[in-house]
Amino acid sequence: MKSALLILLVLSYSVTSRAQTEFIKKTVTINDANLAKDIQSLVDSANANKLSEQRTWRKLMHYELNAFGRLVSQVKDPKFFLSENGHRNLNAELQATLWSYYAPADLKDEHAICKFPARLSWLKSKLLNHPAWTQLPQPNCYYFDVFLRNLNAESISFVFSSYYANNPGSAFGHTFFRVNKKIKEGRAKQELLDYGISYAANVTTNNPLLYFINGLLGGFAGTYASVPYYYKVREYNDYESRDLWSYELDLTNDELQQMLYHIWEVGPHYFDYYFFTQNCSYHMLTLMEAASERIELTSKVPLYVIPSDSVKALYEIPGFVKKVEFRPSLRRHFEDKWSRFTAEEKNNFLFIVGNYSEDNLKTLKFENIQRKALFLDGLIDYIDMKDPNGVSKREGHWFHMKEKVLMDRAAVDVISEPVAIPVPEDERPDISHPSSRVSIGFGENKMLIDKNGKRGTAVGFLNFRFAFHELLDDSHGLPARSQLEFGNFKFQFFENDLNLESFSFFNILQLNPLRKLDPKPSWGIDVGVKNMTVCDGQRSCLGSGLQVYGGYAVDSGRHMAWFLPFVHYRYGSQFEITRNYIAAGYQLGYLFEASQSYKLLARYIKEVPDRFKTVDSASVVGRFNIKTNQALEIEWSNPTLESTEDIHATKFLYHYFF
Amino acid sequence: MKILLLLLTAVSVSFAQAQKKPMKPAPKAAPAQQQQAPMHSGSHAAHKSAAYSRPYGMAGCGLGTLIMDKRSSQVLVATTNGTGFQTIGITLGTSNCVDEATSQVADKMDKYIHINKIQLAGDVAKGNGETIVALSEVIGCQSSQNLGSVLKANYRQVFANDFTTNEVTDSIITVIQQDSKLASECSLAQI
Repeated sequence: MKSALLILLVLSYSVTSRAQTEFIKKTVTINDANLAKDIQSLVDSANANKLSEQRTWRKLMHYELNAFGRLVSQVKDPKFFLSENGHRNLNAELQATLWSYYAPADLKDEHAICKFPARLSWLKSKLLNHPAWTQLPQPNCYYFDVFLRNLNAESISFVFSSYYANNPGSAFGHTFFRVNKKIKEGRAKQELLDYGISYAANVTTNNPLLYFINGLLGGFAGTYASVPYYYKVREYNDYESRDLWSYELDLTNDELQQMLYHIWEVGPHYFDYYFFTQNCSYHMLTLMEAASERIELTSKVPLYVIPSDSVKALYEIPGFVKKVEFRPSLRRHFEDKWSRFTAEEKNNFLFIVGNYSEDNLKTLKFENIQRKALFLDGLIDYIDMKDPNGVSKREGHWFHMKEKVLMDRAAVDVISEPVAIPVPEDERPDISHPSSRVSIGFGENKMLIDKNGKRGTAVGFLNFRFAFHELLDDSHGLPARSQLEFGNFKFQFFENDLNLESFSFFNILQLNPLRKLDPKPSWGIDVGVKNMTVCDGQRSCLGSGLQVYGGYAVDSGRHMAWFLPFVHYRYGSQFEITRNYIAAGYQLGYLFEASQSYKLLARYIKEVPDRFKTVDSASVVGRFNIKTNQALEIEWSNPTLESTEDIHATKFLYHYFF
Repeated sequence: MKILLLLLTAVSVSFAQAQKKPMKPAPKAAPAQQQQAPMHSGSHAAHKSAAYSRPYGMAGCGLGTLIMDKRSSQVLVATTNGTGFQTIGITLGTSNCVDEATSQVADKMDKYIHINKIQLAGDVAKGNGETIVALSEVIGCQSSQNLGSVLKANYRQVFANDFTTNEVTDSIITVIQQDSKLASECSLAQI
């Protein structure tokens, strides 16, 4: 058996070494014997210096260990490689690249020099002063030149588009690059005319299940795209009302150039898109890594790359972030105007929004035309925010209203002054807590009966959460009123047994405190496995299923309360009576935020199953987020309030975020 | 049980792979925009001059690449759908769409106005705003101040109807040419 393996090994080796001699896809014929000698010498010195084993070459080729532990390229497009086995052989690709640079110049834009400029500049820097470089052909790279000229790059910013809870795909935020144009002398910067570089999946299905499976398993091709930055602004800032945070990178001129070259060479080629691991944020990081030795980022983030974690990774390189900029969303623009309205104007605004007609608007009295202009400006923002889809498609009540309001506004002889909206420093994504969390703790649970038949036993807790944020977590840099957890395991340890309490595959809670102008319901969904109390005497009574919430929330300052009716379904093979647990009920919640770090959460839940006993439960949790990555928690809970026995549980937890 | 799981995974992976289609460059449609010019009212039409030239370069994007029709959501058609998942992309690369160096002002304005139309209409009504400042840069005006106030005065002519992007561009150029001060401030030389 062993010898057979050895033979196989030798055989496979001989195959690969033969392959290396004929690696180039298209043979480059060099007629000049002297030149051929020089190129061979270039290839030889590359080999002698083991360039293909260097970190930057690996990064330029996007080689990483795959799931089976093999070092292969993440680029799936064969056109990215000049050698037959370039996707799994770094050295073959390096040699093929060097030879290809000496192909005839009349290939123009198809020439390797035009297509792979970042490889070229790196190889040149590593084989300085080699005589072969002076004989490089000079193809006319028309499109590459146009690309660089259009970008006209001064610097690059890493842009984070804030959370958008209305779409599960972007609830974590999104990241892309902005290539900042050089500013002409005597002119001001026009961010809109910069370019955005992003990485995204080419979705080929409308089926949510296929979308999910493909997104998880790399079934969609991922590609880079370059569009004028105004596309990004209109989409995120306006259409989705998301704030944009940009982090200008401190790159040297060489690094900047190398990064642009690399964007150009990898841009047209596709990868496999993995929603959680090799996603938009991951492939932003790999672009930066290819630009310079000193930029090491992907090792600083967990396997699953959450956009806010990728922002924080920038800070792992000292001084890498030069400047942080904030571009407020449409919502913030509206709120700024609203805050400048007088009480009477606010009332008028509410009236007009509810009962718009040209006549109603005409009857309103304004102190002066400046006030009228402000009022109409607010109304324009409000309509854009209220029905972005209708306004964009030019249809519906709000769009037709807006057309008239715009006409009215144009007739008011006031030029609106630009407003500076203060930067909400508390919401900077780079100051948010890390997204993974491990927790340990202990407590007492009177629900449990120990070996001796005594009620109440000491328990230990061990929790692990992949991502991302819950209501009680520190809300610096994060939406305070939403919760989005993914892969949350909770174990209970007692009498030498470790039991799964719950596993939440995902858990979303979006609390939207009611506003007169924008009354939105609150909602939530929790999908996973949970230990239920509907198995007779069984300690482990797991049921898998989901709970869906829909209701309303109100708030006042630091207090928020909500009423969320829900339906609950679980399937469990050990359930008594029936394996299908179906229930309806409601949750009353109250959250007090003494600060973004100190919070108190109280909940009362009434749940009425169709075949089991009604359950009233309550809990109070205090949370002290002492650092961005550490927190203490104390919880009191009672799983069945109506019980005559005292069966409350107490819990002390220590959370560590990483 | 494990085998079943493995099989399931294998099936779903192969299924996922089968679903995948290699990236295609955005189709290049002819710039049909210019031809369709539904004039809603005569008074507005009167101001309009003939369409300005837009010679799309050999790989020029034109508006056709955005595959837009009048009823589709302008922003979303052209860019990602907000999930980090892209519906239609303008991909990089030689075979794809790059803005030609030769594209003329009217063409550049079309692209800019097409995506910024909603915000631009608002800013023109207000007489000031970022989209006007950036537009003045696209057109090559010395400052945006005059452009803002002149456009504001001509709001109806430019935006009042359900105009196509090309019509808006043409009206803006006409407005600039009819205002002697603006005409001297803005370098519309190529039009």
